[in-house]
Amino acid sequence: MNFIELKEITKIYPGTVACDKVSVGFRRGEVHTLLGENGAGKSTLMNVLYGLAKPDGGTIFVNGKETEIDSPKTAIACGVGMVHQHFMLIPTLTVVENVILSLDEKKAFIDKKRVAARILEISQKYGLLVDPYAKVSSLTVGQQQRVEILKALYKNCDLLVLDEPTAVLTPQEIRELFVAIRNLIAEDKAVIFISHKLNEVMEISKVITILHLGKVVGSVNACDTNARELASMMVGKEVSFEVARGEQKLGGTMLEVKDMHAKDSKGVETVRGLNMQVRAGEIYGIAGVDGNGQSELIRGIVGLCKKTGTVLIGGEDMSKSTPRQILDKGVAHIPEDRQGMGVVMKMPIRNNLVLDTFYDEKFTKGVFLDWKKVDGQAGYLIEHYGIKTPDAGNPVSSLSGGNQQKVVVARELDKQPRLLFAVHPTRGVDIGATQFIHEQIMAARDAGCAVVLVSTELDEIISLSDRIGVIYEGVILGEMDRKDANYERLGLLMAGKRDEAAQTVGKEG
Amino acid sequence: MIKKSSKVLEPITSILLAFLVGSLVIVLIGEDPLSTFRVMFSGAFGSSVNISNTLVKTTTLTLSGLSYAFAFRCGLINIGAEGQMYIGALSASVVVLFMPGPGFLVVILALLAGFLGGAIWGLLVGVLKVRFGANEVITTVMLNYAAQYLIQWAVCGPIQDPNSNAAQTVMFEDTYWMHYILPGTKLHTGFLLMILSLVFFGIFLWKTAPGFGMQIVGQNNQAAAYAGISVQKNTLMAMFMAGGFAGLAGAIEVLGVQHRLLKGMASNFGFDGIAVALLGANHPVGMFLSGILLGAMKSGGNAVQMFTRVPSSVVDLIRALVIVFVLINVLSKVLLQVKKEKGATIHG
Repeated sequence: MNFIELKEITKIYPGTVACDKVSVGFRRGEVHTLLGENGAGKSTLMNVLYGLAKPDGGTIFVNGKETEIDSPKTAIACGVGMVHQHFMLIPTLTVVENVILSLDEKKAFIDKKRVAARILEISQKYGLLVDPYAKVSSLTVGQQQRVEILKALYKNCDLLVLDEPTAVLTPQEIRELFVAIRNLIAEDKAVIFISHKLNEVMEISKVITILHLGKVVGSVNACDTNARELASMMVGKEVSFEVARGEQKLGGTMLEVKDMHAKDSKGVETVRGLNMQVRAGEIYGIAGVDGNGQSELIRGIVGLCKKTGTVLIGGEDMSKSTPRQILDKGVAHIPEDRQGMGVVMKMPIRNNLVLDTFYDEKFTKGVFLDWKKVDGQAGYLIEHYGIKTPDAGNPVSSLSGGNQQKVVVARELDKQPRLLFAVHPTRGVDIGATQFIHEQIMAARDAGCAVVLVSTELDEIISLSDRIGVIYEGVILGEMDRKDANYERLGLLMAGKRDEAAQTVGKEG
Repeated sequence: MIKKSSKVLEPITSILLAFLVGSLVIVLIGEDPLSTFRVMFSGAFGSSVNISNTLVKTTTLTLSGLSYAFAFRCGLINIGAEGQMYIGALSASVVVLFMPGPGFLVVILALLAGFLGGAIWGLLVGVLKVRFGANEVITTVMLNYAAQYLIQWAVCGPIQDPNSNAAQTVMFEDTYWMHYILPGTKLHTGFLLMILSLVFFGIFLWKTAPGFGMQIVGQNNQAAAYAGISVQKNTLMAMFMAGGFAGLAGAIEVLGVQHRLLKGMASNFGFDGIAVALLGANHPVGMFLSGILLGAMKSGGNAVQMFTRVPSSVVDLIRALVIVFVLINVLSKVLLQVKKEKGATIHG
């Protein structure tokens, strides 16, 4: 029997039907994944389940009994727990204090020791180890997530909703999370897992329900399907994971980095004597766990943070150049932090499409901007790159994440660069847009552009790169050609195990 | 289009609310609000002389607002218009007092000197920020005091009127006054300069490439740096221009209104300028209108004091309330945003 069943849930927002008669049931003792692109209705459905949105139609059954969930309080009383993608923790307080804050106890005095003991008990039971008296700010992201899960379990939840829980974790932390999820299942709890990453979904789920445009496309057992089938159901059309590669036109060295050192914003040296070379017409993938110097490496090369060492672009020494001088050498940059750096959220889409090209002769008459030409360019890019918007005058913030990224990609690739830096180009972007962005990057490479691709997604690195370097603690620990790359070897290098990785050479992956 | 109408609607509701609360206060005093407002209105606009007085005040207020707005559009908070005005007034006075020559030439040079003096005073703040990371709110406030004491020293020492004990210079010869443009009134050419300055501001912001670049810096300086736009250069440029317009306001105040430099002449014009910028949403047309409103309340307030039993501080109160309501509007928008972000629980 279903522990919780949603029946014909309909939720209408002005202009869109977010959920259209969605029916889905969740059983105890299994992981049920909700899969769908941004805007498919997953979030609305979960908001209805957690009492944050009132449905316009449909019913919720808890243990077979019709129940009205009108607030998170009711949801919690029904045994629903939710771990949000953005943690709701107070960093200056300890774990116990955060748990206490989340409780709905109206007592003047709360026995901290008793709460701490119970936290320890729960954390040991499910393998969610964390020190109850540690300050949240001193915890890693993975540990903070555990605190969120503990908060829900403390309130005796029987159904735990995990919203994109792996997006912020390292591969090791993901493994630990999966262990914890399996423990929960063994204790007969129900888990709703929300993720874009098909491999993970296949690994952890029992049942997968695919949503598309507010409707259930289907529910399948993980053992009866594969990633490709899931992807096509999710997008509503056939998806190819292979990005068509044209014939490689390898040219001379376009980028050379020699003995580069750079520090992060806290003053910690994160790039420590890094060397690399990238040739025209190749995609050089930089794989690695987040925080191993990727960020400072790219920012250093394009002149956005201080560095020592030599950077040659097209053979010219650009080590001391300003960002503008570097851009003028035919460099394009899809930055890692799209909303913080790649666009100005409140400015119109039109303005953002010329953010780093407006001062070009093409768009100016003396000191004056030629808005007609800017409009023309914006219209062309919107059409050519399929940016979905009714009006180029709307602010970029009105676009979905995927379309925001398309704005950046369109602007950068239309420059027909000689050298492209693509940093996490598809982070937080749905499958349809991901495929499109991959094709565009590949097209630039086919046209003879040197591409540096930074990503933490091994799938992305392997499917796009011609050559792969693994960054670990600020240096390129190992390099390999596309044909020699496999998960095991890359994974070992990402963990800093060069010797073990060397043993895998020649062995089939 | 909803957005555009709300841009106009918000200040208007703020103004109406302020007058409503003001009416209540007047009723509590035991007077009739409507007749008080009538006196105020006729004091501000009742005759060509009154209108001129209002517009003269508008001139200084709006230029001071423009100073705040210019810095604000680059993401900077310039609290230093007052000090920059003083330095502008001092520079213009020095030119008039020591530069011989035909009247119009000296006046033009004095205006230029006023702009430049204020600009350099503002640039100093920019340099401190770019070079040492000094917060401009602090440095502008500090430099206000520095400017104030500098003027005090000047008008009590080297350029004091030798025939007077008052802290002021001699009255300038009338060939060095700004021309009156409406016969029989005190409205002078500074008013036209103010309008030109606003037009320049609008063109700069929305028609030129450097203006576009500066707005990118103002809204997201990380994106600006990424796009090859120098945050440092724009900070210096914006503080230079912000100081310049405040300096011009100071020069116009001595050349067109006071006709001498005196201690305390710019008091509170700098801060009222912030109100003009806030109410006018840092937009040239908005600031022109809010400059007229606040100018009218200044000159109308005098009439209220003279012709009714309501103290002019009630008008000051209404003026303050307008700003409070504008700020509440801004605040509630910020709060709404925060609430929205908190409410959006799952971003799937």
